[in-house]
Amino acid sequence: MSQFRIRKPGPADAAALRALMSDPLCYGNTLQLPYPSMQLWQQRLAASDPLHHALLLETAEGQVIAHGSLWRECAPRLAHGASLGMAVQREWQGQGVGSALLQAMLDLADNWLGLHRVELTVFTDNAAALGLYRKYGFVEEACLRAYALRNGRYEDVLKMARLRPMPLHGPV
Amino acid sequence: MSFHIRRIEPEDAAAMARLQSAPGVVRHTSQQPYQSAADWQQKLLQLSPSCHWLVACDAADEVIASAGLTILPQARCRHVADLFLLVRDEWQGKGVGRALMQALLELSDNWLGLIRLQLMAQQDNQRAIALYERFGFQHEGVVRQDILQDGRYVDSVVMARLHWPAGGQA
Repeated sequence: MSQFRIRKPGPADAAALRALMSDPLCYGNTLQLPYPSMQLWQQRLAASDPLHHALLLETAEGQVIAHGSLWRECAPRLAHGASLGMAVQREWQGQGVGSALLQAMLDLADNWLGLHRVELTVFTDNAAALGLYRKYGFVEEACLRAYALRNGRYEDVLKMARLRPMPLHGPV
Repeated sequence: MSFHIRRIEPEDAAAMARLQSAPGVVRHTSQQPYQSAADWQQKLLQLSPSCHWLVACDAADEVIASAGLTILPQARCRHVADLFLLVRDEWQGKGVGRALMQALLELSDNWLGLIRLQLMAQQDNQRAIALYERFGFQHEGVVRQDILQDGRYVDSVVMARLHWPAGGQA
């Protein structure tokens, strides 16, 4: 996947991320709204939150085609867990982009944040996303009925999670 | 033993610190064992309008149980609220939890118009799970090792109750 570059987003990426999330496929299958504002994305990208770890994926030409986030839980008794969310541009789906970004986020979670549990929610009919998450070890834990409004209907989502052993100690 | 239900007030801060750090409550929630009244006062003074929080009080108006609904912040989940309920150890099994549940469901169905009420209960908290079942909450799944309980990661059950307002069909 050397044609892709993964990096942390900055304030200069607001326009690209707003464009990515303006597609009904992307906002519809996450919990975002239509007509995302530039100001909203500028604020998100300017805010520095130690519990939030965002990554984006761009082509060799610098076109931003995917975005992902990990939000660590702040309550001390839940702090071994984080929620994951991601979106891939429509034209680039099914070409290994989601895999590359998800791998990078899980490497961060496992090896640099030391998280034990990563969870996410996914609409039950989002087959592409479900397949990707299963491939990387996410397991369905619950079906949350009528959890979110999507294009006029209350839809069910699956709660999925992936557990990892705690990090090892000392020399390999 | 009689009790009454009212909205929580900032003046309940000290009682809330005692209630929420009681050993039985800490065990089955995500609370910490040591809590300060000052932190609670600050929290109660800044309570969000999307949090509907009730308490049950004894004859001296001291808080003996607490319960509430927190409406989710996402625009597409405004019909959903997280439900929480906790009862002081010595008041368990005396109908306080049942009365608070009834009050919250009436508030939700008749005045807030929420559709989905959801909660998570630690799997060994059988008394609470039975209460939720009695009020129509259904099991939706089991979340693995999501919470640290006395040094161990333990599982939680996900439960929810759906209620559709009547007369809303075109």
